[in-house]
Amino acid sequence: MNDYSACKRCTYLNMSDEDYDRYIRRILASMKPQEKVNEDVYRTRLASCSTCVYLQNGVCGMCGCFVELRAAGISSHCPMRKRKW
Amino acid sequence: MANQIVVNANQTVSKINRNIYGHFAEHLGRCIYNGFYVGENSDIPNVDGLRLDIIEALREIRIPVLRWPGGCFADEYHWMDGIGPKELRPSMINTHWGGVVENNAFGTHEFMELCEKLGCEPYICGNVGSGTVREMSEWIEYMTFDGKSPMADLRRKNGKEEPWKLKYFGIGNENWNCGGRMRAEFYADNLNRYNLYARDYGENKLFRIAVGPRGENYHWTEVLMREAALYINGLSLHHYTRVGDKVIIHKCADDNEKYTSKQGEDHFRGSATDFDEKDWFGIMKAALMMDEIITKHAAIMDKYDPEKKVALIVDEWGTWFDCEPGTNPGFLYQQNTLRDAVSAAATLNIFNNHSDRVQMTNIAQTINVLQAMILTEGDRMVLTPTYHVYNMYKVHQDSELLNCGIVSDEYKYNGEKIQKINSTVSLDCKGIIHITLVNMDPNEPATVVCYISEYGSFTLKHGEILTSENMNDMNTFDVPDRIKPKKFMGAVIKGDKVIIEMPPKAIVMLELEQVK
Repeated sequence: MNDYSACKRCTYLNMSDEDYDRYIRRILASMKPQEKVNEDVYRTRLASCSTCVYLQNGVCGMCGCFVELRAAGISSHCPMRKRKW
Repeated sequence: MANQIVVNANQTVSKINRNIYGHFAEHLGRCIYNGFYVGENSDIPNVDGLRLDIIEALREIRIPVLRWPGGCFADEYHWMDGIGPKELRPSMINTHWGGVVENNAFGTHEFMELCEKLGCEPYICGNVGSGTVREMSEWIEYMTFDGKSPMADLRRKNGKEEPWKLKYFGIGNENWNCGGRMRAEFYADNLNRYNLYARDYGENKLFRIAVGPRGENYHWTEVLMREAALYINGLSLHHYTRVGDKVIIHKCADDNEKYTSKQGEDHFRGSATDFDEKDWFGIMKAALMMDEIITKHAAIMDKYDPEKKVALIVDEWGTWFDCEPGTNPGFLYQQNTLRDAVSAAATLNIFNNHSDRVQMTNIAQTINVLQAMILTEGDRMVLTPTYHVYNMYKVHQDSELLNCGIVSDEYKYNGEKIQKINSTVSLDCKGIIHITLVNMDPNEPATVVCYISEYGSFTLKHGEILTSENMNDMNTFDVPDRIKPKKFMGAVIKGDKVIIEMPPKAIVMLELEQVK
């Protein structure tokens, strides 16, 4: 699978850290206020994620989401069987 | 104009190899890790770390073959990293995709066990891009040699006394780009060298699959068939169903192709779920393109191999959209709607109707990646609309394709048109005829009259339909059964005719039984 036509690795190679940072910030900014949890809940969620064994480089291994994005959603929840939040 | 299908039940064309319904699992995103493999210590029910609900679901659709470990990953995979005690296997940080750790917990033994549990054939893809002839040769020896040798002894030391049976083996992957950016001529020479040392041991006979073209690269097929047809059993083809392509194709003076990609954020292919009729039509048209591509490659293969000894193996295909918002773009996680189901059903009809040459296909990829059968989130699992197509179409596995002619109305959109109806008609070993039909038009129903000769009197034994109210309906973790097959009541038999009332954007499977 190659994403020059298809490689996920090449996809990453083609996106800089700045691109990813922009990607996450843009999605966060596009969320409506009523779709987001408040700052305290957000920080509590992220603190919980930061101790999870499934977290790798900002991505949750159980759902594939950037945790900074998943934790922001008011209707989101931890994807683990025993939810951490 | 009426939609008509004319079938002669006495005229079989070719056997529909069950492997046309094959699958693909790469070390990519959450396909293997946190997909198939959750580890022995997971609280998700598993056996030896392999997720039980996934195994059960894939056994239900009779998964015939599974390709592994890639994909591009195959051309960076060093198999010795994935054997022996897990705590001693090397962990690697993959700097290419965000530093995700590959700890090699899932290796050769785990893959073979997975295939045993699934009841399917393994199809292993070897490393030509960054591996050596010796490395590939020793992998084959490790897996299949029943005598005494350093590699067979190493396998025994790792707990497997008897060799595995391994039939399908790929000599590289996409060596025209991520597998080494080779010209067709250079790869053909390398193929012959690597292939020579991939030995058959004892009674194990490899079915050797060479890397074939990307999409419409007919030069690649020409060169490979000219230089290697004598030594291979299969030639692969990779072609994805998409409307926006990130790839830029550079045509070279020597007829080879080079590939680069557009830069920046990954929004070239459109949303998997948020689309309109323009996008629906685009994907349907792209799906039907598979017919033209196979026809043209098969014509080149016919020139060098008129007896059709070399199979065409479409070992990567399926829809490709932008990843789901909020997920890691490198994981290629996309949702799956009725549009995916209809395009897959149409493509499977194309493969069936080319079963004289197409002997295997592997949709990308089984779990959580691209056009997946199954999506998971934690311990929850969703069967996608595409999964249900595979469940409906499994009746064609190893059946005989029947000769049929089809006349179809057109589905027109914005000045373009495609054939509205496509189908497969097959005869199984019990004498039952199965018809699968697709109506690609999202707006208008279709009456299809199917004439069946040389079959005597027959009854409708069973009928199923897969459709939904909206073209972008999908199954989610909260509503997992929005789209699933239902009993189909829209077919009646009149003499030697079956009259089928197809709703818009629908897939139908009919089972006809002879009255004795």
